[in-house]
Amino acid sequence: MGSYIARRTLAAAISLAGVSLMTFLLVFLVPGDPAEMVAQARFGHGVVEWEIEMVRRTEGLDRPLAVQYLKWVSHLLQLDLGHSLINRQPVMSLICSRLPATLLLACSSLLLSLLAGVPAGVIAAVKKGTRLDSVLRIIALAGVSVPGFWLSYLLIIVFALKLKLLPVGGYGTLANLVMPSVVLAAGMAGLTARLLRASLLEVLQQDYIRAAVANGLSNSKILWKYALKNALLPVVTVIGLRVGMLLSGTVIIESIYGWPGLGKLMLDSIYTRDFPVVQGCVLVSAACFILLNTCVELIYAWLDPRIRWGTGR
Amino acid sequence: MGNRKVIAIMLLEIRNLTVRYRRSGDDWDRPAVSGLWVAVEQGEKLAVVGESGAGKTTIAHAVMGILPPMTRVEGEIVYRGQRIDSRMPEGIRGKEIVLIPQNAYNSLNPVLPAGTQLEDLQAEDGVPSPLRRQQLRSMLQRVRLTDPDAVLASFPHQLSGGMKQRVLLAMGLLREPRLIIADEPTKGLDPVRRLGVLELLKDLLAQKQQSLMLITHDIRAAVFLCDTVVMMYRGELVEKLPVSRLYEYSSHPYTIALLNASPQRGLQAGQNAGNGISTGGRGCSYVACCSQSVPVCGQERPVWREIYPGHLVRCHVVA
Repeated sequence: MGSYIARRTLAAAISLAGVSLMTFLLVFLVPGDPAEMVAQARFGHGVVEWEIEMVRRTEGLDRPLAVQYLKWVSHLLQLDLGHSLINRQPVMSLICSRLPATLLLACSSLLLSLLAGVPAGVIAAVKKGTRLDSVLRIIALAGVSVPGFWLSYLLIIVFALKLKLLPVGGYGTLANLVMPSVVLAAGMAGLTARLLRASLLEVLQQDYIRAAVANGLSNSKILWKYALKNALLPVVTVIGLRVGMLLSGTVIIESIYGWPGLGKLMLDSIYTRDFPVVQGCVLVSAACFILLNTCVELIYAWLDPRIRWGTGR
Repeated sequence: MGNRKVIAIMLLEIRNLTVRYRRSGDDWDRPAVSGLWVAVEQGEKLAVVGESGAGKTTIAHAVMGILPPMTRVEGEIVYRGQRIDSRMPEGIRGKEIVLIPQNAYNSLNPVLPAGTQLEDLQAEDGVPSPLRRQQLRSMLQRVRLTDPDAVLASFPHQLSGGMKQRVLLAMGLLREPRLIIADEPTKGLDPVRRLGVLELLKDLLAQKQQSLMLITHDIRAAVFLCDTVVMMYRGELVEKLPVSRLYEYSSHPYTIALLNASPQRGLQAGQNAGNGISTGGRGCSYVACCSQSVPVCGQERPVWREIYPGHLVRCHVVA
């Protein structure tokens, strides 16, 4: 188990190094001269040639890329992501001010989706072929297929404008959290329920389940102890990926509800061409994603001992 | 077979069992088992012998009540005077009647340690947790697993095929059942391990007055472990005889063909060419492959005839 964790951590570190290089190059890949962008932000529009040259010198943009990258990484290791071009604030503090909102939204929608999706999937599988199964499957399908922005506006119209139960948008109270969480959870819950149902139905046909039935174990023990752990593997993969996306900020939903998360910060800084902030957001999102994938792999190992000891099926 | 009981106590009776699997919708397969009568006495060791597809495993699953949901079952299964086919009474499945399943490789749960899976059975019987480990250790030693603690801590993928089979034997015997249904207990094992498992089973059963229903395609395993053999062909029984008569006095053409067929050469008894007598579904089930068939075989279903005490045959040709 120890060596497994070490291997996964090493893989994560390598991915992170790759991500840092890609993020660094981002600035040079977008059209336009970075020095000009900085100068424009600093001196206003209509900058002249010598101002751009001055920025190029002072910011070290005339040095070879490799040197610039190493310098950037050394700053990065000290958690210095540079300063915003717009308001001169350190990028790190900007991101840190937005991260709690994103984390809160991600956690609440994950929790909500599991609370709805897991029981729905289990019930649908156990009651396969009944009317309850059909109803649950249709709801799940709807959850997966309905676009988030459409559901957002629908909820706003019904609960905020017509019934006046919830605020249209904003951040701060529990009431603000409800609608964006529900919208984000809907898709995930639907996906969880559908995947879990399919996976559980397959597991329930396995020889070891039949053997457990023949051994006279109770139905609930067979379902929750013998079947569910096996059935969760594919579900964990997909949930992990979805939560990774949530952590990197959900641009559209955060914009609709005016939710001050990472996604909104990234979108705003793309509009203002504030590239250090964009870089920072991309880097943090990617880091979250990698962290989460590593977590998923550790959960795998906990669920399936065959992975832990490095022997395939 | 020295001490035959005066009054035979029927432990399990299968009366006129017919099982059909559904293919799709209202489309049913030909019966996997049809019109089957079998009885197992207290302490009797009975072998059900036939080739794959004969319906042997279906019998085992029907008795255990673990047939798939889309199955039509007719007839009665009676255990100690109590019907168990429509509803399995509490405390019989897995406790009084156990199944040692066919597929050792996939019959243990891959994500739970062997010890946990054994302990769950003890929990079913209310064995207090401090006593469990000790009981398991001695059980595993009985099935000749030399390092019980290591086996208990292992996940199934860490055990070899032979070890998994022994763990399954331990699971079956742990609760001191009256009837053990062993479904091809040596499947997938090499010849040396196969013999090892059979000898082990024989020793374990000799210690207790337990009944065995051995399901196998291997006549030698049946001879080694059992005292009665029933031959099964395409869902029907064709001959029932004491093991002592098997090699010299077996009479049904199918039994003889199976005895002559050598598993090493992959020859199957059912693949012999028949005499070209066709049946409209009314005649003998073996007629198409029977080398001794006569015209009546294609027209009439043979009835049971006792040609010697305890030796029954279902064939027109056998006089």
